[in-house]
Amino acid sequence: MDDFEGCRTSVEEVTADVVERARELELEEEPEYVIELLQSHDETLTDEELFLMDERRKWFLEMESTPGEGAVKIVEMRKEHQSTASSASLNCTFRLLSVEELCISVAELTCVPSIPLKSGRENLRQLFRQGYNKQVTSLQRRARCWRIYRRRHNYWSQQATSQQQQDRESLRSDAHVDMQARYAPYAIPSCHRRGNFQEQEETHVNKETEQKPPERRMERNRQDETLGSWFKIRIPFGIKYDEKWLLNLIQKQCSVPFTPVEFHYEKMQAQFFVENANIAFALKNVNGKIYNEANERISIFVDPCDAPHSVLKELRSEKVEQIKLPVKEQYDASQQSLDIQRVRSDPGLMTRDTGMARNPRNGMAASLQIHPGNMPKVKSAGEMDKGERLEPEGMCADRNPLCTTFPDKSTNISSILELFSKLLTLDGRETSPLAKCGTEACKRLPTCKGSYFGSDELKNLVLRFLQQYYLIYDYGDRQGLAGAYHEEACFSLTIPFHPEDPAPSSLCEYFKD
Amino acid sequence: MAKPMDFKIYVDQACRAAEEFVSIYYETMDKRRQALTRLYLDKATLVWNGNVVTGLEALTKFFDTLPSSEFQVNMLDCQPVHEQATQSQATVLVVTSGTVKFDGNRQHYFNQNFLLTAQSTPDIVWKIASDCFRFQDWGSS
Repeated sequence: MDDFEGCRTSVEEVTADVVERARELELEEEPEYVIELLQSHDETLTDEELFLMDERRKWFLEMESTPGEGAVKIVEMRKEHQSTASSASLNCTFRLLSVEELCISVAELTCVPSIPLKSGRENLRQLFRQGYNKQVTSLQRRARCWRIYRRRHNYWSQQATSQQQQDRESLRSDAHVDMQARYAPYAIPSCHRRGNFQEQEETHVNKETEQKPPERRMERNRQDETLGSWFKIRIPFGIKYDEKWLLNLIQKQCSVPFTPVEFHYEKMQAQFFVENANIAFALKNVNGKIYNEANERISIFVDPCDAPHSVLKELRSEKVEQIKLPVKEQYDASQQSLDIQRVRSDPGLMTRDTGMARNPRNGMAASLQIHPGNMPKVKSAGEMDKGERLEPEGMCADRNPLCTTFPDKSTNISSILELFSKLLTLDGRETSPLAKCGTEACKRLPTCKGSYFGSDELKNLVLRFLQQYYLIYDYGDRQGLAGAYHEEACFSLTIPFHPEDPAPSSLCEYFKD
Repeated sequence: MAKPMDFKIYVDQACRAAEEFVSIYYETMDKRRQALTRLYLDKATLVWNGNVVTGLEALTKFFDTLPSSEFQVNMLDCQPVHEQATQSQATVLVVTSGTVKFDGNRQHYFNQNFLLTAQSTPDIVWKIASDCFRFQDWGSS
């Protein structure tokens, strides 16, 4: 397979947006439609072609779901390569494919493996998913085609040239197009036309197709009940819009007031977080209801996510106070032990939204960062965390269900030992010094400190001496320094000597022959 | 008062001992870290970038925590310390300078001085009584 050199930006954008939209549609169980676009990778898209892409994108977005029909009609659009310099024309071939034909043709293409034909809908759904995976990998090399899978029967017409008149008979035009008004909407300089799309696509795909971690799944299920879950809101091509303007616009359409957290632009998108599932749901409904100044629809996508970094930091510092009390209460002075499990289930803690229940790691980090003065010396902990500062001397890892992320016990243990370098006992057994540091890399240099005097007496003596000495050295008659020396004192002097650069230095008379 | 000739011999001896000592010290530090404390007196003190370490036990622990090192000594200075200062205990001051790279950290220029003292029982062995080590750029991480 050839190497992919880089999809042109407009195509990337279109694809990204369409793919996202398709994904969402699939998630929403709307009828899907399949459109396959084959494009030669060698050519440069002209303005008209860009416009065409844009039109298609709009068409996808403006699609209304049609009642389900038995037969699924698929449109294949193939763009002929124009070798001439003409930039105005675009040859398009339209042909209706049946599901079977599509599957065959798809299977022939290198990007998607052949799939036995089952029911049309299910099959294409599979293709849809698989197409993503393959799409990602193929786009990382030079792919000859990219495809978007949707199932719907509708077509575009006005883009066809006169050659396709007869095909046009069977096509219905749905979109209301004003060619002049929407010309070249993506004013992206050519220097930006590089692989952004690939990375973006990959993250989306990976998110979707990887097995979701249990926490994610749980969060999704609990969406409606749990407050305090975090959601990432993405606006494709949001980089075009001013932050205030965009947020205002969204708020106008949104049935509930929302507070955007960490608004930022990431590649082509505008992104922010919201904390509430209800808000996230309301924002999702805004999708497709807002328009920009050119009267183009703005999409909004909502995904569950972990709390944003700024919030995590906040949790650690501000909510540490809230955790101190239950931690103190759970501390067993006789045993000098703190059962972190019990801290987590402390009723006092549960009533406050410290985020500990949702994400115990946050709570752990927070509780372990409590200043030692506020908390008695901890000798054991039930959970490990990367952010901790306290150094427990003993740990019981066995009891803790969260210590199961590692493939085997020994990896688990060595990781624990790496994190808690002062551990003396683990699960009641002593740790050996060798086990403490699996790799050299975990050894850190002691922090460098300032002057060390030994005692205050010495300090005063030495400082006074040095002060006088250098005062004379710098400003006084240096002969006076002789008085500081013992009669039989030794003096040695280091002179930098560079054989390559034998410029005479004032100290050269000290060089021996 | 020692005669000049004696003094010169004395100094030469001291310097030779010091040179030998220094090469052993840094090689042991780099390649056989666990044996390093054998070069220190029982009650020796080390001040490492402002961190004080006293006694063999503490020194052993301390050197254990340091990552593996690669020392290069560029300069070596040694002087016999006047007997008046040391109550006739033969002592040599050794000053070294060079570069060091600890595993996982960047290279630093360092300065180090040792006070070596001769322990005569059972044989004459030079041991470190005092050690002071510092990165030249200790103030910046």
